[in-house]
Amino acid sequence: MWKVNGLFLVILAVVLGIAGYITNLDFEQSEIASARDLSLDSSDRIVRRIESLMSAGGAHDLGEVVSRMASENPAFREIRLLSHDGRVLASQLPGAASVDSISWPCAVCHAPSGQVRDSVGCSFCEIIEPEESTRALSVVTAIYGGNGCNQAGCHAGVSDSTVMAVLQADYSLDRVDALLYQRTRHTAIAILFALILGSIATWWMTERLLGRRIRTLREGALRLAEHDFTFRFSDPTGDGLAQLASVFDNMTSEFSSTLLELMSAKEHLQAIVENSADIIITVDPTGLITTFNPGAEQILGYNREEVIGRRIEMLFADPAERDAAIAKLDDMEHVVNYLTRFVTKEGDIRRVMLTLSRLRSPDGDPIGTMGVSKDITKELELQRRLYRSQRMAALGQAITGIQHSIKNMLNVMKGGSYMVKLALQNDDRDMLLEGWEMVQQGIEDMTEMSKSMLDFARTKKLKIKPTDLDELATGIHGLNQAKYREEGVELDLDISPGLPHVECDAEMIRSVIMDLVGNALDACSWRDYEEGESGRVVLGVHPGSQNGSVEIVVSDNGGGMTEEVRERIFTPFFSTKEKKGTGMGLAVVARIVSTHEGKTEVESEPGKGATFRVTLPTRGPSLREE
Amino acid sequence: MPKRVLVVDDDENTRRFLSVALQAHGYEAVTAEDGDDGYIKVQETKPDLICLDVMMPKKTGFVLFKQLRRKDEFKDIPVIMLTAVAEVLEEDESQADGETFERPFDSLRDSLRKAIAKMRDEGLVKPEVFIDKPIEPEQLIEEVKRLIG
Repeated sequence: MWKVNGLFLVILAVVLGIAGYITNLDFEQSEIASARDLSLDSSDRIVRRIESLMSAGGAHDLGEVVSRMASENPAFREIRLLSHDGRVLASQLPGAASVDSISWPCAVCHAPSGQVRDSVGCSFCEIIEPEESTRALSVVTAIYGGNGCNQAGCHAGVSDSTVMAVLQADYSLDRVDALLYQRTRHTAIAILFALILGSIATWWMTERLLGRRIRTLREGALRLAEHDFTFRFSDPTGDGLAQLASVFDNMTSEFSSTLLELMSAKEHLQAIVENSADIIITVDPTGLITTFNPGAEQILGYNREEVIGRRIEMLFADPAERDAAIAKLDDMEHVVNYLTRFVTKEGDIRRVMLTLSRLRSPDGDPIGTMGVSKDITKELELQRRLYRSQRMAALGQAITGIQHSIKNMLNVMKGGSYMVKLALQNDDRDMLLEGWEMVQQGIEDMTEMSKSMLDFARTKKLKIKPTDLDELATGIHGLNQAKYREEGVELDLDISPGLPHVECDAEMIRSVIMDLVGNALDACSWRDYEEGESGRVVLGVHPGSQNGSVEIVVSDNGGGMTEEVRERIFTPFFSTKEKKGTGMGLAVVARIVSTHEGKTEVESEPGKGATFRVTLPTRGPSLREE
Repeated sequence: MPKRVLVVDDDENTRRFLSVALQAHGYEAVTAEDGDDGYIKVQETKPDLICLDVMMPKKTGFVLFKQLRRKDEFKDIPVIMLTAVAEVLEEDESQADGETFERPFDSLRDSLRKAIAKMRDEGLVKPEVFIDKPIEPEQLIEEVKRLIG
C-alpha cells in the first residue's frame, strides 16, 4: 500500500516539476525578448549618436560619449566601441580602451577564415557570460559611413556604407536572472507544498478508505478465528472493498451456520452418548479408556474419573474375550453383537452384546476403538426363565396327556377286574375269560404307550435314498381307501406330474403321511356333518413354493381346531381324542420332518377343517442321524 | 319289569363291563356306540336312564344330551355323564381364571367347561351326575339306584 502511495507522490513531483520548468522557461524567454527589444532600442540610439559625432569629426570625444551613454543607461553593464579592426576605441570601463585584436564582435560577422558570413548587415544580439554566473545580453551593432574601413573586399555587399566602428553594448540580465531565481524558488515551494498536500491526501484516502476497513477486516478474521460469529461490517458502500466486506460477511454467516450445524450435530451425538442406557466406551490405539458414558457408570458402577486413562481389560471378566473381539475387528472392521462378559466394580458379572468399530481420523489413521455394549443380563435371565417355564408347560402338557391315556387304560382294566371278580362270585367262566381279556387289553395298551414313548426318545438312524413320493402317496391312498369308505369319508389323491425324487427315509416319510391321513380321517369321523355333507380328505403332493422342495399336503373338511389346540398339537402326549391314541403322532411327525430339514405347518379353524403341509427339501438332510 | 339303562360309549370294553354291572344289579342294559346310534336307541327303547360318554365320534355326548333335553318326551330322562375330567364341574369360572399355578391346557377340560357354560346360557338343566373315569362300576350302580331306584 505504501509503495503505491510513494509511486503516486514521485509521479506527482515529476509532473509538477516539468510544469514548473516549462512555465519558467516561457517566462525567461519572454523576459529576455523584452530585454533584447529594450537593449536593441537603446543600442540603436547610442549608435545614431556616435554616427553623428563621428561624421562631425568629433571622434576624440567618443570615450566621454560612451561613458555618458553608459551612465544614462544603467541597465548596460558595459558599452564599448571597437574599431573596424578590433581595437577598443572607447569603453565606459576605465582602462579598457586598448587593442583587443580580433575580439568576438568581429567574429560575429566574420568567419574564422576571414570571409564575411552570409548575413545582411552586422547587428547581433547574443547572451554571453562575461563572468561566472553572470549573464548579459550583448548587442553588437555596426556603425557605417566614412572611409575608415580598408577591407572593402570584406564589405563588398555594403560598399556605400563602410563600417566605421562596432558598438558592443552588454545589457545586464541580472534583473531577469533575479526574477527567474525568485520564480524558480516559488515554483519549488509550490511543488513541495503540493507534495505535502498530496501526501496528506494520500494518507487520508488510504487511512479513511482502506486502512480502517482493512483493520476491521483483520479484526473480523481474528474474531472468526476465536469462533465469534456475531461480527459484521457496518457500512458497505458499494465499492470494491465493500464487495469484499460483503463476501466476508456472507462467508462469516455461512461459516457460522455450518459451525452451528456441526455444533448441533455434535451436541446431538453427545446427548445420545450421555443419555444412552447402553455402555458406550472409547479407547485409544493403546487400549486406554478415553470415554466412559453415564450408561457405563450406571451398569458397571465405576465413576468416569476412576477408569479414564486405565486399561480397557479391567472391565472384561475374561480379557481373552476382549482379545478375541479385537482379533475379529482386525479381520472385519466391525464386530456386531459379540457376546461377552463385563465385571462391575462390585465384582458382579454383566453379560453384554458388544458392537465394536474402529475410530479413524479424516486421513484414515486409526485413532481408537468405540464399543457399544447392551447389558442383556436381565434378558438372558428372563429367557432362561421363559425357557424353563416353557419346558415346564410342555412337561405339564405331556403329563396331562399321559394322565388321560392312563385313565382310559385304567378304565378298561378296572372294568375287566370288576368282571373277573363278578365271574368268580358267580362262577361264570366265560365272564372270567372276558374280564381277563379286558385286563390284558389294558396291559397291552400300556405296553404300547410305553413303546411309543421310548420310540420318541430313541435315536434312529435315517436310511436316506431317493424316493418317489408319487408312488409312496399312491400306495398309502390305496391302503387307506377301504378304512375311509367304512367311515363314510372320501379320500382323494392330488399329485402334480413330474415331481422330482426326494432324498429321504422312505419308511419314516410313509409313517408321517399315514399319521396325517389317519388324523384327517378321525377329524372327519368326529364331525357331525349337516344333511348332504360328508367327510372328505385330499392327499396331495406338489412342488414346493421354494425351489428344490416338495410339499405333502393333507387337508380335510373335519371339525377343525381352536387356536389353543392348534398351538399344542405338536406337543408330545397332547391329544383331543380321549380314548384313541397316545398324543404322540404329530409330535413324531414334526420330529421326523425337522430331521429331514423340512417344516410342518398347519392351517385350521373350528368347523372349517384343517390342512397339514409338510415341506421337504429334495436334496435331503445333511444330518443323517435322528 | 326291570328298569332300562342305555349305555352310550364308543369304547366296546366300557359298554361291555357297564352292561354286565347293570345286569348284575337287575337292570336291563341297552348299548349304543356313538351319538347318532345313541339317539336312535333312545327313540327305540325309551330308557329310564342314560349313561353317556362325552368324547365320542360323530356326535359327542354333549350334542346328544342337548338334543334330548330339547325334546319334551326325552328331557326328563336322567343322564349320568362319563368323563375323564369330571373335576371341572367342581370348579366355578372365577376359580378357573384365578389359578395361581397355570395348569397345562387340556382340550378335554376345555371343551367340557365350554359345553357346561353353553348349557347354562341356553337354560338347559345340566346332567344329573358326572362320573369320572376310570369308572368304579359299584359307584355307577349306586348313582343309578339313587336316580331311578
